[in-house]
Amino acid sequence: MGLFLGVDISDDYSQISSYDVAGGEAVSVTLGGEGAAERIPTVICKKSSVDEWLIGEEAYRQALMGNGTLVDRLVRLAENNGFATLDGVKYRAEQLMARFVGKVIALAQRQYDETEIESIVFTLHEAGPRINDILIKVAKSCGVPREHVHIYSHTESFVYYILSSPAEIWSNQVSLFDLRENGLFHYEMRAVRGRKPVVIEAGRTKMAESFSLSVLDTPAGEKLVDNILSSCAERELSKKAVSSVVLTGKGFETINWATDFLKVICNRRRVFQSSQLFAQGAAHAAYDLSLEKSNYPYLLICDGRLSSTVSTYAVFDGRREQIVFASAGTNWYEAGTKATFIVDDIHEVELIVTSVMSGMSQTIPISLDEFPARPNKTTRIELSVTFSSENRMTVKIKDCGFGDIFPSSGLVIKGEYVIS
Amino acid sequence: MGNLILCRSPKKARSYYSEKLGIHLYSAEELCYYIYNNLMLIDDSFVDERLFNFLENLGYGQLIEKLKKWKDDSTVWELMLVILQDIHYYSTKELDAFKDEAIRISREGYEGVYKEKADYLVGIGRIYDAIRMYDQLLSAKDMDNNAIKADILCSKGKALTRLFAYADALTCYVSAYELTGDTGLLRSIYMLKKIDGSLRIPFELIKTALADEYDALTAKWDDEFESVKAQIAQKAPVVDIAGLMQKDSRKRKEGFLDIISDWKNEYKRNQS
Repeated sequence: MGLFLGVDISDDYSQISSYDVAGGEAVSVTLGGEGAAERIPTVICKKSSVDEWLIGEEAYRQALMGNGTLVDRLVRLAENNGFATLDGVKYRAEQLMARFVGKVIALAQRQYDETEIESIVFTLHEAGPRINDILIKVAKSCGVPREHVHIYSHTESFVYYILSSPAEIWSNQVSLFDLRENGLFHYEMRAVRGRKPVVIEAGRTKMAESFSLSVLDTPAGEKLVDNILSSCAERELSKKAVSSVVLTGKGFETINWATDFLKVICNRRRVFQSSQLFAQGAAHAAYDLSLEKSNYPYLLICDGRLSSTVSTYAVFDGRREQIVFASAGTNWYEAGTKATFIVDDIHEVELIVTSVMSGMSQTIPISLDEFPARPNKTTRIELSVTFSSENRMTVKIKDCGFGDIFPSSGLVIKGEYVIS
Repeated sequence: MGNLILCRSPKKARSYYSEKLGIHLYSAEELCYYIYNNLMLIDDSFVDERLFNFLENLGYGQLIEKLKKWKDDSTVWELMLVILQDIHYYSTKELDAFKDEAIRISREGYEGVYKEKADYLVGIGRIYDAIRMYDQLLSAKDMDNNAIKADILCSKGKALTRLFAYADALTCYVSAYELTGDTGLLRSIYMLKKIDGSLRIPFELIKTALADEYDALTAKWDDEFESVKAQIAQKAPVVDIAGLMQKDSRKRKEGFLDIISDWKNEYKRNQS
């Protein structure tokens, strides 16, 4: 059996984890073997005059020694479609990212002496269409078919991480504090058990308080951050039935300095720390996605996932049925589909957007008047729905004509909609 | 109330070619439209392996089973109705209309159906096929009804006129007149002479038949002919050669090739 990988790609550092099927847990993959640091700085260095590329701490070291040129902030560079000139050669961010991710994946392949990848889930702090496309291309170049590559938000990976934990951990609400270079983030997850399937609702908030992690280098700084964290925790956890609190991120590598903060979060709650939470959650997801029947039959509503179902009504085999284009709980990047219809005595298509949480429906009418007039039932349309984020939907309706009898006009009606 | 009708996706991009219309059908809905609107083109040979392969690719396995099972005991109209019902493209009301039309055709009898089919072929430009069918009807041993025979001759005359075979068309009209003495046919004969002045038409026969009305009627027909001629002159040409000549050399060449291709296809369809 091949590998089930979870890869957390962030601008400051990246992590990789592999799901161990026999042990039923996600295991960290490190750059330097067992005991080495689990965080791989997201930087790449090209050694001068030779086609040798290095990533992580080694890349820093070689660059400091003047043996090569270093490029950092690869995610942002890729999202901005930027480029970098190394050794006189201009490289697109996409190429650099491909080299970096390829080397990260190779770490797991080397550690497990296995080249085949069954399924891979990339998890990103900030996902975007460009970086998603790049990661899919990279996975493809590693021999992973498109259908086995998934891009998840950190919130989704957090949920998978918690769902794979014992049920008592998430008997009530779960909180996660992620202290990283670009800020403090608070995640929440709760199960809405009265519904079928059970709805898992999760979200992320960036805390207004901001500070650099270098503040923690001095005792005074530690005290200051402890105060900030304590007030944040009091604000976020009060009046909520939080059963567990999880800490992750570079800022929480050690926690003994945050005595007041610990007092607040440990009050009648389970508290645990995970240094590789997102990568491990993604690895759990990678394995689960490869199964015919999911171990987590829940409807997940969070950033990265649609909170509404998009559908229309059409006649199929003589019966009027609901045709679903995208289901609530689906990852936006993987959501959407297309279908072909015959237009029978109507001048507009109605898309119905139904919120899973409120149950309320909103109808989006799309006029077909632009298409050429033809006898009834001799216009075929291809209706496609895609998403550019969890709440931005693109609808395209193409006039396909009616074969040789009434050729297509080639017209396409396109609309972008913000959905709840 | 209007609706969207969800189409089935074909397994592979395959089409069904209709030689009779010279078009490809790509979907079950197009097949229904073809059957419904070209009933006269459908005969027993339509339900064959080629149709089954097309339906199989569209995922209508059960429909194929039904057609195979009922093929020997059903009329072609009944089989067409089974196809239309299973594909659900037409409403119940539309299917009822189809049924009524099929019943009407069945009641028409052999000559009626065959002639209607030939007339339909003239309408869609398959003139040679239509003429073959008229000849078959005229040579039938039991064809002893002069009125029907004259009607067929008249239709054949119209078809031949469309092929610019005016002399043969004239023979048809004269034969039809001899069978029925219908003075209405004399108008067609007179008009043929107007179109092709070299034709030798039986003026004496016309004069005798129309007697005192000859001068008035021929004057009226002359006016009608001039009026139709003027109308044709005002209409846009079927093939806009002048328009093509004004385009650049590449588009002009493409336009001419398209016209020639259309003519070739029309000719092939008529020869098949």
